[in-house]
Amino acid sequence: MKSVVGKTRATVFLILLLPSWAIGCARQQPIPTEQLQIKINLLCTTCDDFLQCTATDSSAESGFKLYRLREKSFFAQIATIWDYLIQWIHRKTDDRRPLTIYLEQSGASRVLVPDAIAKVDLVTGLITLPDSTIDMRDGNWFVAGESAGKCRTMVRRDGYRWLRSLLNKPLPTEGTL
Amino acid sequence: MRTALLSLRYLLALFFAGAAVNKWKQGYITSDYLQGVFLQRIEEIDPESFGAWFIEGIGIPHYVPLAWLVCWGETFIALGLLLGCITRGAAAGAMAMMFAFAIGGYYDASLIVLTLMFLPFVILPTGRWHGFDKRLHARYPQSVLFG
Repeated sequence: MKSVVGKTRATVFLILLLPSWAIGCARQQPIPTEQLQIKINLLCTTCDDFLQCTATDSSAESGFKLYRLREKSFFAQIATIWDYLIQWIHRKTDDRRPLTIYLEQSGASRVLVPDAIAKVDLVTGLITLPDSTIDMRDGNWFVAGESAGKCRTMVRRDGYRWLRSLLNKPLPTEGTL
Repeated sequence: MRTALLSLRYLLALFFAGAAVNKWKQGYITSDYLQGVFLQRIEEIDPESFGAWFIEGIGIPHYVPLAWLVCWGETFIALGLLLGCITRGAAAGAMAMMFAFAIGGYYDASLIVLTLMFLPFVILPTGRWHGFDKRLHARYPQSVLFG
């Protein structure tokens, strides 16, 4: 009797385990981080990522678009704890992040799109934005499928500094206290 | 179960003791160290967030009382958890401090887990299992401090 129960348990276990294993193996692997010029950590949901995109025919000084992949909501951050814990058996390869698009042109900056969604896919290496696509492998920027320029990651600290200048909120310093 | 919980309590006590010792060593309450910490942090967070508002409006101008609060708070929490004295209060204080750190510009998803780790010591009378609360509760049974 015991061996029958044991066999049934083993069968149920295999039935549950094998498909999960098969799905796990069938999942496409993400592009290794070292092969990416633009790196986005999908498990860092409290991170703000700034992507500065410059058109082919202009320089960053004359103008650029700044895509800000914002930090996620409180509950999404809690969900990430789960993603973090199971990463060894099920690695997260894509994500949707809240997005704000800024524009700097001839020294003037403004918010272009306040709320949108950016889709990050580490398997294809693409960041899909409402108006364009960024190839994370080489930083190429595509608008309507055509090459439009290059993007680079802006250091977060610089991104916030840029944002402060837009908001006209200078950083407090010891002298101003 | 009790052994596991008590081990966790001592582990968390050591965590807080380490944090407190560091702050005493860094001269939190005798220097402007905390102001420097805030000035550095403000560059790293969203200028539109509550944390940035808190650091700019409260943290930087009032860093002296905050340094006292953090230094002594962490010290008393560590002692409370280590000695099992006013244990529930110490654990509640730890949770409050974690919450304050989170809303004060140091939010991280791991803080949620860390904060919840103190919850069993607020709910259960672990100080009476092992610690001074056992004696103090016997002496002052009406007191909520040693419950």
